[in-house]
Amino acid sequence: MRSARIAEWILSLATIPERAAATVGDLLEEAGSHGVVWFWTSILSTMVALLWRDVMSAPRRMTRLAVIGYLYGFLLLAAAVPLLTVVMSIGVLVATALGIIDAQHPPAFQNSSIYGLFGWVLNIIVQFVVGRWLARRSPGQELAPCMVQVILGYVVGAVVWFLWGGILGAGSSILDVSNLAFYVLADVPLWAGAITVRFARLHS
Amino acid sequence: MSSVTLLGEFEQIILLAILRLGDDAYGVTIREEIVVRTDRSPSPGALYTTLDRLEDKGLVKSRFGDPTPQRGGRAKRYFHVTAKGVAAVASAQRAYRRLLEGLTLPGVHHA
Repeated sequence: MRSARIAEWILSLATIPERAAATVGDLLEEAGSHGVVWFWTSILSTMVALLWRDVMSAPRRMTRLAVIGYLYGFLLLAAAVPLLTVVMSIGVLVATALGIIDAQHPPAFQNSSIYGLFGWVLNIIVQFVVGRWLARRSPGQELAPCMVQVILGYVVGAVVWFLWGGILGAGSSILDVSNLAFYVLADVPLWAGAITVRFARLHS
Repeated sequence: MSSVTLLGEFEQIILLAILRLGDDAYGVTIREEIVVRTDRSPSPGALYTTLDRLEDKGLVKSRFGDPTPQRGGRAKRYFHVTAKGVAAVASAQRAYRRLLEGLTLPGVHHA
């Protein structure tokens, strides 16, 4: 059963593969009377409970890691943005020399969609690197510091948006569905980085 | 001070369920036993994390059975309570009994 293998994969992110298989077997046995929705809800809630157990086994260490990871990501971005600007400037110069860009009307690339796209790619790479960095420092509990970092990110984001909207009257709501979807998607590279370390360790 | 491990209420419930089930204690039967005996339906997440915690504390031990076709070839993880686990649950139950001694709970009939 393919979905059961996916479920096993999900649980093995937070527990050893043998235990993940036994748990999925139990839930499959019970899913006969409870249904598919119950099965998947149980898989996800078990996954979250296992990750939370890992966080609570060393909450201070996990929080410290998450904060340092956040700063590490910030430093990487801070170092990479000037580099990106230099690379793009060289690109514009080369394109101008080759006659691709009109020298009389050079593009204001700081505002261009290409610059934005490069920014996004950079952010994805940095998040991925931070995810791997966090996972390497938490053997056996690779995803736990990522969970803390994501939760802290939401808390800080909520406070900032509340102050921004309440005091400055910016009016943008954190509860906006598109904003929430953006936040969730923005965390995907972080999780992906940690997952690569987790599976490399399991298969080594 | 006693050196016996202190237990939470849900930990006691799980240990007692495993003791009742004997050799057939694995995730599904433990959950069923708890539902039947306590009218509570613990979430799988709470059950499995507590079982792991009890094993980490040395209060239960688990072993994997043979893979079965009805579970997609997945083995059952059987649990049994260790001597330390029995001592912990007995100590917790004694403490409850001592607390209840001579106490009449309003509206509750005592056998």
